[in-house]
Amino acid sequence: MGRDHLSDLGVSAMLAVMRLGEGAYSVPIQELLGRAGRKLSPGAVFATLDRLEEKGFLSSRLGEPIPERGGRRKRYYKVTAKGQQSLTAAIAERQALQRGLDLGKGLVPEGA
Amino acid sequence: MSARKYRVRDGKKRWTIIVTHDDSDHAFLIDGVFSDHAFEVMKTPHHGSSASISVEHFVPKALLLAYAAQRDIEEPPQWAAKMVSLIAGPRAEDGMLIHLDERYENACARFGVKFARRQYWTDAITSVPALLMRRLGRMIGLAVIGELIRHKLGL
Repeated sequence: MGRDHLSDLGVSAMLAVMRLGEGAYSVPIQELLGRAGRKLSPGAVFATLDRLEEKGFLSSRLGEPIPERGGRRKRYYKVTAKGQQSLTAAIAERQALQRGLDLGKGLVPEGA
Repeated sequence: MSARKYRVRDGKKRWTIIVTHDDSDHAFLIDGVFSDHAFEVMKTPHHGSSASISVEHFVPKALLLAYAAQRDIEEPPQWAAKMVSLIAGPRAEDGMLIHLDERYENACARFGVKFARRQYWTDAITSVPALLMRRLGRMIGLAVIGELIRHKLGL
């Protein structure tokens, strides 16, 4: 598996980050993925986001310290240009594989 | 409505209490659980908070909803939080704990403390494998990079 390869979960996580825009941090990302049918533990969400950041697909910044949470900070994520490129490629790859395939019936012969 | 959140230590338990101010500018406590200590606070103007009470300035919506539902808010399970801190490591620790706290407060408001505590433990335990794998992966990755550098430099 290449370093620039995006897993299925990676694609979903990046789409969630894009959808949330400025407010993309772990809790709404987990909720959005959950609503889309991917029930993940908070740890799995963090691990996925961390891996995507390590690969350069996401960048993160720390928010303001939250006094009521002991001065801890939320980490906000954003899709990088490299991430956007890989995401487009991953989606195009799936679309190419799906072309000509009726998911209800199987492969439809060319020209049918 | 201006509101403040107080954390009051009551014996071994710490309670979170929302304080709003009525027209006479006196503190008015809102919470499902009042200890004797907290009740004293209720009678004092909010400006004269005692040393044992730390004043904080941020009140999440979930806590206000908790009041509306007349539910008590309790600190999340400390052992679960400690376990997560230990396993998550310095990089993910803050984010993970904020994440679990936010989900805990939302669950407190919607379903009550009992459910929220159970959810906190479930979140913490189910997070362990992914956090451990991630930490191990990072350590192995660093070790491989170190080995490559040593090899390149002929050390």
